[in-house]
Amino acid sequence: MSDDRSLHLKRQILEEIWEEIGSLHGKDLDDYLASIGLNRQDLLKQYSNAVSAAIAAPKRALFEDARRRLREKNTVESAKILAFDIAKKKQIVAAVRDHADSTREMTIAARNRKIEDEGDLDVFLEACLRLGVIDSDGNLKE
Amino acid sequence: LNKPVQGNIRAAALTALSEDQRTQLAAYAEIISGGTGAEGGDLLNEAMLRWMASDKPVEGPDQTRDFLRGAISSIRSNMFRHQRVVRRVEGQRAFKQGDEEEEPLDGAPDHAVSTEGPLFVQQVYDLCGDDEEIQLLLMAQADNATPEQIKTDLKWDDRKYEAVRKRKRRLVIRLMREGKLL
Repeated sequence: MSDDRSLHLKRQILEEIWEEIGSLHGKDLDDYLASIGLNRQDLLKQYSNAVSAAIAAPKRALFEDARRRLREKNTVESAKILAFDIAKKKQIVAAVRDHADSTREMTIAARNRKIEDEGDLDVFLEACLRLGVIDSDGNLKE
Repeated sequence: LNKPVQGNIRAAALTALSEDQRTQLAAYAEIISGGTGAEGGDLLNEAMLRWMASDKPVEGPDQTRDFLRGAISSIRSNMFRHQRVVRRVEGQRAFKQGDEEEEPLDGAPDHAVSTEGPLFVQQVYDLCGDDEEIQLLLMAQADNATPEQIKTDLKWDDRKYEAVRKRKRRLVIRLMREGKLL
């Protein structure tokens, strides 16, 4: 027996199943479903769940894509600012603090945050970048 | 039309199907999911994702239903093809993994009764062993005989032919749902 023969029979079997199901309506369909152990309400719920998942999928994909792009952008910008030498980083932090003192745009806690080493500097600069206080070159945003 | 608008139109087409049409599709997916390892709802969902991503114009509920039905059949066929490719390329995994209770080989199919390739027709024939008329019909259909040829060769009238077809469909559906016929 050839593969073609098997394939033909498989297709024909699926066709026949659909031919029957697709031609039945209302009570005839319900009776048929009951005879093969299926139930309309369960099937309708299955359909409804599948629709919800299918509609949500593209939206979720868009959201994930936007999140990924934002993460990539933040990573690139952070990497740039973190590559500055300590003197430059301190200079940026000082400028941010001066600006914050004069405008009161940052909370007291943020303005008085202790910076003891380069790690603290990096954390502070990354936060300023994320909050939009500075750009990726360390310039204050007006 | 931009993508979100298109998406809304395609999504609306899915909900525009009548209750009967939704039920028919879900029933079809449920029946032919047997033996795939997936559930009817999974096939249905995959088919809808294809619909959402398709460039095929939205026409009416009948066309949407036909698209989904075709997609369900195609996804099923791809699942079996994928399983065959994995088995051919990677072989059958023989050792159990952490959360498994049994060795995979204990549950592995006996290839002597495989439904792949040429053995499929023979297997269907054997599974229908209790009903000689169904066997005759299946063999004739596998040989691509037309309904008229079948009726003439087997000396069946229309009523007899339809009755045997109906019995065959019921049997095939049962075997599929039990995962015996892939």
